[in-house]
Amino acid sequence: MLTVKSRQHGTATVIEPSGRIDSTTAKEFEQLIAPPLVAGSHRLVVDLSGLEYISSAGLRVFLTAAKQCKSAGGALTLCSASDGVREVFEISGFSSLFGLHDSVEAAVKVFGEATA
Amino acid sequence: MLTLADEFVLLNLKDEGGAFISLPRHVFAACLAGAVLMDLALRDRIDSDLDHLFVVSRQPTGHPVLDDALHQIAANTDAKTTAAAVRILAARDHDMKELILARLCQEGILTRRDGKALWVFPTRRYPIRDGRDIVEVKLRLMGILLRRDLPDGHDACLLSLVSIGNLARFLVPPADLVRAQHRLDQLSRLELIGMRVREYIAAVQTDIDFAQMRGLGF
Repeated sequence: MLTVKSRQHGTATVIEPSGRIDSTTAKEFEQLIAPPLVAGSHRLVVDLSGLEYISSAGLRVFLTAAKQCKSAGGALTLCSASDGVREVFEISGFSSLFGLHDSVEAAVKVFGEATA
Repeated sequence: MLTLADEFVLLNLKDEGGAFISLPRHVFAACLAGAVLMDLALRDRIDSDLDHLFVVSRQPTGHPVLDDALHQIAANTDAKTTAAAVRILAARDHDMKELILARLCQEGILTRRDGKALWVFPTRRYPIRDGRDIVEVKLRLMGILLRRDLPDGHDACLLSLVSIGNLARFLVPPADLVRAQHRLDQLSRLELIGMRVREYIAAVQTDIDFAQMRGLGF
């Protein structure tokens, strides 16, 4: 089970996945994360506070989204992971590559914005 | 279209002459097993996390090496972790390598040359006949390592194998190697299967070292 909400925070789009991202939901997550990218919002913050589990298939979606953001001159960064999810992002090197912040506000600062 | 396993095999061939770069057998075997597992993951047949490997679909891919590997993993009750799956497939490295090379020859990418060293010992080389695909792969990897492009899922897998096999020195000019290696270190863990391949190799190396020490009487 996966749900994804999104909201604007200044010029950044905050994506909030809840539930599990694995082989059964990765494609769905890829489609749900796509609209902001298609709409031209290439500054993405993924708020991981509601994410309970992520597998390799889920990590690959993050990589694809980050590549799309970078290609368009933007960036993707991460925040608010639970301990279990944080461990996956840290061991795999995603946190050092994209940043894993404690809050949405801290993540948005990466884009050089004042927090809303 | 080339699989990761195809690309890994091609990256292990010297540009000049088509001989294999001399990787230790257990390193090559584990990397090839990892490449096949990554191919299956990219085709949504398996998934993994830090602890487990799951077969999510037994539907054949149409590629004989991948389908045989999928059958082996699905049929083996011990293959519940990536490490176990690597061990099972690494034991079949010779068959997988031969089949991959035969297909690459059949597709006109490689040509097989049998010969003899010192007029006695049989040798086999695989000179590249059509290098377009592998040149494109190398240029893409160079772009990621030197221009800081981000890899997609496929290239993240390949980079982890390049890192494990210590193949960066064959991809970038010597003057850029330190910079490329630093970037490779940053990217080589993005694929979880690659991490388990690395651990498997370390465990086998420990066994080899231990056996050698025992052989020397320590």
